[in-house]
Amino acid sequence: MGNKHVNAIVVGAGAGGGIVAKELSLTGLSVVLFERGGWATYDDTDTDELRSQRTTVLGNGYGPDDLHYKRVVVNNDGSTTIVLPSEGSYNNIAACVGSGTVSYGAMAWRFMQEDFKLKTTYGSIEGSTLEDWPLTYEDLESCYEKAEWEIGVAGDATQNPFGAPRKKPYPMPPFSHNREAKLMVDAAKRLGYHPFPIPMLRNSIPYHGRPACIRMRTCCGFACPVNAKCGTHNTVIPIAIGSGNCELRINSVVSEILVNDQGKITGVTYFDEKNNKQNQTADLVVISASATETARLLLNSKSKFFPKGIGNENDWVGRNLQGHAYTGAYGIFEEEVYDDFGPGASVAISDFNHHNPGIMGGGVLCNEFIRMPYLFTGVRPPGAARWGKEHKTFQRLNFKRVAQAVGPYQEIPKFESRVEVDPTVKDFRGIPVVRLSGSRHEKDIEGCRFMSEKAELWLKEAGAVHTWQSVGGGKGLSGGQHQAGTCRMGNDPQTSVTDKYGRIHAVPNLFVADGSLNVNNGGFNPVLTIMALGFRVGGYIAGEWLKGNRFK
Amino acid sequence: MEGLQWGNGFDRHFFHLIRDHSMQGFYGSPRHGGNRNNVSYKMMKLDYPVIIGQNRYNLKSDGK
Repeated sequence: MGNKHVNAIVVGAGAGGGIVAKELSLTGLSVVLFERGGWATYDDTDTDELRSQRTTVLGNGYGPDDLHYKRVVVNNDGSTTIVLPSEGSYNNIAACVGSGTVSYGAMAWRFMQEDFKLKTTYGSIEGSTLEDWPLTYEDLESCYEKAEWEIGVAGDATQNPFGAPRKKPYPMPPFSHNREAKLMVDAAKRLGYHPFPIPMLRNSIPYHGRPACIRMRTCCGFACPVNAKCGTHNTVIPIAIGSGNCELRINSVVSEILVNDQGKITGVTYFDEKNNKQNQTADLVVISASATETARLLLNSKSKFFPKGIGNENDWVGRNLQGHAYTGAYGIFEEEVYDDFGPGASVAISDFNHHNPGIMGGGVLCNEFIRMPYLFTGVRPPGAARWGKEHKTFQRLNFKRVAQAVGPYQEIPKFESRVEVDPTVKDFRGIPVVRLSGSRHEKDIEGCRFMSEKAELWLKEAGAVHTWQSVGGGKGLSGGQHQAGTCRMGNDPQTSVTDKYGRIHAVPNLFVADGSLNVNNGGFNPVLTIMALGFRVGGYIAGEWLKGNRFK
Repeated sequence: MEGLQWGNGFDRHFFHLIRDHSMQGFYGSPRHGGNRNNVSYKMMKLDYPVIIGQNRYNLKSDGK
């Protein structure tokens, strides 16, 4: 018994895929939306720190699990290590309906105008594939706006003089600051910086039929118990399903893109929830499986027409993998700054995001989400005890007295940082696994040092009596939850994987809609940009479909 | 694994494993068998169990 042919397949029900599924199904296309995980709820993990998405010592609370997935990491000395999803070097993205948007911290940043033209702004950088996007901020502005209003963002853009120009305000008012953030707002003003409330994909007032945030201490890394956090799982995906045109197929892992004997894309092969291999055919396919898994799927789809994998004629699929180098500083205050008013991060400064002397880019700096007790055991100044009585005393005295200013430094893209498929290692289902190799650009650390110095200064001004820097940008491979760049958009098929609408060059009916498209990753958390790209790619396909284009 | 040697009677990897597991037990949720009666959270003056979202309010009638 075969599956009924549909108009469109979307692979991955995360930030990008959920939006594409909604755009297409409301336009009248029949859609199958594949998700390798299932529906996740707050009750699955509760407030259990040890199995949250942020502290994964007992596994990823929101997937994927350690039994069915693994990857290969190439170490700096050339040796390889097999890693599991709960290990940091796996570079995990959540596996559930909504993916990372269920358990994220939910910062909702628009990239800046400069982020779309880094090469024009900073020139070529040796050892980097730095490039301009094939589109401008203005081209994406209406898509950012859709993401903010359809998914839901709380904020006040008027307080950030460095934000890119915009047509509409956020749909919800900003969040109030807790004790720590208030100190940091005042300090930033004294320093002449421009503090503003972090835009959040979280309800500050009831919105779209869901309640306002109750300010839990557990939020980042957890699902929301009252459904106040806005993801694709509680906005666009239910709308897509409600249209009657979209079937969500959970616990189903897509393993290969089907190519017929004329070299046309005809659908996908997948493992259903009982791990039986099935085919699903469609007129067009959109891959939104994350920068690592989208590249893996393309590279695993080898045929006589695509001997190196689909879209990989020029060896660009999987290249330019990047995440963010998190960098900042910690400060210990004399008084308690913790007032249990979650989730924590609420104030940002974007004063050091571009046009800093001597470095490429920069990034936003924010106060941090509340660190739960076990996570805090790793927060220690240089030289402090890492165990024993002194360590425990620090925990007792300082848990409520430590603040952090930290932000994502925009990394310099490198061709050598890449996703491949491993030639021998296969996962539980027999699918060749992701093989990660490469390292950050050597200049990243300079930008990180610059940002960490500013962060430390900010904390000192706020009243911290003892401060220390935590400088990111080390030699290791970057990816993580902010992974991006592996199917770069571009106008030149020789040096990119997709065109400016996310369509794989020279393949009429195969699209990508996730962070893989990002030419660079901004000095911001990337999720709102991934959502905007979902609206762009989905909107493009829907518009063409209505004009009669069937992508043949 | 590099460094997995007991020649001098001390192994770094093994020690770190035991240290990490001890802290996970002590600072993790009591549902895993450690941190009985939320003892570590009390030590850190952190109110538990979490009444979702409401722990910042003083619910005692005398307001203290």
